[in-house]
Amino acid sequence: MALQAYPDVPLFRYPYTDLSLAQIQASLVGPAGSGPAGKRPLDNNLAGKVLTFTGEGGNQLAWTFGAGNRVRFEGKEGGYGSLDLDHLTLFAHVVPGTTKAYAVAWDRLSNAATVFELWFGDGPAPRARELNREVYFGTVAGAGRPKEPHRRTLRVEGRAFLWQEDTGNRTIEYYPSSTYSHWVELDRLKDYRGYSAPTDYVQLTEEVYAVARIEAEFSGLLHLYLADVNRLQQAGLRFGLNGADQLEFYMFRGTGEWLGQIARFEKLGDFSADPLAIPDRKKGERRVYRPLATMDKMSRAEVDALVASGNVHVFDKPSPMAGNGTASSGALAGRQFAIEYDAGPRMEYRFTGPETLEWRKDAKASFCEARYNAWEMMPGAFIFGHLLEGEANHDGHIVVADLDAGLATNFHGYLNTPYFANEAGCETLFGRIVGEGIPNPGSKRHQRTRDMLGRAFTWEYSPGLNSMHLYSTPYTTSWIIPTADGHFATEWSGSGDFVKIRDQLYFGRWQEEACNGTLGTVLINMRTMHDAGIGYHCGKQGGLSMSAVGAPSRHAGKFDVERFFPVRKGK
Amino acid sequence: MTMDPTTSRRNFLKCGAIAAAPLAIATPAAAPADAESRATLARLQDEKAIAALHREVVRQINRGERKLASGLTALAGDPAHDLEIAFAADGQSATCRRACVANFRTEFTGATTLERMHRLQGQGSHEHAEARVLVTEYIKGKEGWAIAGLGFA
Repeated sequence: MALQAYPDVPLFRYPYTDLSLAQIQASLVGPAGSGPAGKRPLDNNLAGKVLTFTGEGGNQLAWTFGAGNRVRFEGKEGGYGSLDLDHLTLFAHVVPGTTKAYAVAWDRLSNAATVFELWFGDGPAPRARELNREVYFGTVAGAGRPKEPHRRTLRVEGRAFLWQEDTGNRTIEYYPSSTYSHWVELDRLKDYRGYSAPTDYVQLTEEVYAVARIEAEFSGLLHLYLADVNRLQQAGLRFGLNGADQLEFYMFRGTGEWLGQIARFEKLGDFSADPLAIPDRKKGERRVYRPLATMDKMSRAEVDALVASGNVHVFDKPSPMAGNGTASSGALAGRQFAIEYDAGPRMEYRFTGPETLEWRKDAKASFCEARYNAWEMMPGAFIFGHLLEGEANHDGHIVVADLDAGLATNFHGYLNTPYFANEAGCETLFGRIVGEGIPNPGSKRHQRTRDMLGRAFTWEYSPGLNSMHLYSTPYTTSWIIPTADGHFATEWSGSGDFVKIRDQLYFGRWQEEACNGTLGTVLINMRTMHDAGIGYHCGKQGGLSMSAVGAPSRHAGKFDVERFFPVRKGK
Repeated sequence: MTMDPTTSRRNFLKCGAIAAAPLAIATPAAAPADAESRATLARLQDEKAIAALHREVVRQINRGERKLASGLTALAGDPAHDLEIAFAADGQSATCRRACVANFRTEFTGATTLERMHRLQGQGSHEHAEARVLVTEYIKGKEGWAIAGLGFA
């Protein structure tokens, strides 16, 4: 694959180059001397100033600014860039001859300051191209003394903004967590997907926050900005290596648009903002979810052997993802019908019991027995799932059948994707149900919906096992994990799809691509605020499985983002 | 098994008190009353034995000597509720119900993404308490009362 600065494949599929530290250092030489670029002239108005920063731990740093954009730091002279946002200044520079850089947010009135020390290589990031950071809070020597030091904050948790930079780039920034953020680039990336990355949130004033995300697991770039959420102004820095291994080192201004606020779930009055603190942590260390590293990666032969060995589990044990799930239904027992999916296949069903059925695909062979589970989420509207034993890709059908409308939708899961054989792929199939007493819908079908777009729901699967979904784009489901005290923290995301079954009844899915490989599905009843769903997974530990998913829900809210996305088409 | 619905401890004592009142003034009926008193005494002794056995069963559960439920770490009787004993009609077996507070610990050792992410956050296990009802079955043998089965309602 040719290198692409902003890939036309999902970022989790892009083979970012494992650059050496020497390669990175070479790319920093020029920018260290020149300072960051900008689409428009930077302010660079610090000439003659000497800023001495004292951190809360007593650490001291000093910058001496000269004419032009020259700065001397640790005895080395290079170029800096700065932008003012009212009485706050953001300046940044690379220390010449090193792989280290700084970005500093300085409140010129109070002299409170936040220093982001940035470095490539030597960890804790596992690859040299992924930027490391350490955040220091303190003061800059001068007349003003801060009443309040800068602090990590959860004050922006739950909000989302569209930021449009002077570069022309527009990004939807969701802040559903106090340690991660979720972003959707609308211009440089073309697929309207959202991605998640570890993020620092620092409150600088009542209105201005520093937001710093490092695109871990992807390019490793830093995207850092001061955001005045009241005036909707932004001043920022982008620093790191893009997909074409080109160093990006530029500052930008931007304007924002408030897109809404979803609920926070910390106890009222709890403003603590470092929920994943690591005792005795190393410099730069934080809890970063690295799903590809922990994912089982199996070959097609390994998957086939696993299935042949009988390591297959279909609703045969309690699922931690459904400890609080909806009770399953045996009401399909005795029913017979066929589902004719548009452009195929035609699936014939005989439900021989509350958990056993017989299926036949395209009338090609005799009926096959399979174990299934079903849930009736509204009267006459069922979700059920089963494996198609003998299919080359170990397919699973997860079907919502509305017997009162004669309509069915299938999240057809399959293995043997081109990436990892045990990773679930999925296509969405729409069809009609043919059977005695079932109305003929004619050409009517279930439709994809934008009703879910921008919504967030919490899910309480089992005691202590909770998450929140954020349906951030028509193509993306993101999930965020709460701490025991209600801070939402680690976040990840994958492909999603969303279908309306009835009013307030929605069928959604997520794929854990390059991340555990699961296909998760949920039929969400917004009247009962409960769901039922099915997970389809293949891994070394659990074999090939179908298992229940289900949890009571809280509607955390809905962001106003529909206008940014085209109507989705295709499977 | 047919159960006498009036034999919970409180009801039994109440009935016993009502039955005892005529004893003082009805001496001609002394023989039947004696039989009733013996039965009452026997029932009280049975209750006492079962209550003691029940306490020992709970201790055994808490020491891990009896398996009651997956993840159960501690069980304590709810002091707001008494032990309810329902004897079979023949008096040779009894079912006890006791409201309890049950503490559970769940280890998130699985391979699901959610469990992996919870572990990353240092939340690899979870402890919680539930209000449950412990139901125990006892039978009377030559050696006295013994436990025949237990579980949560």
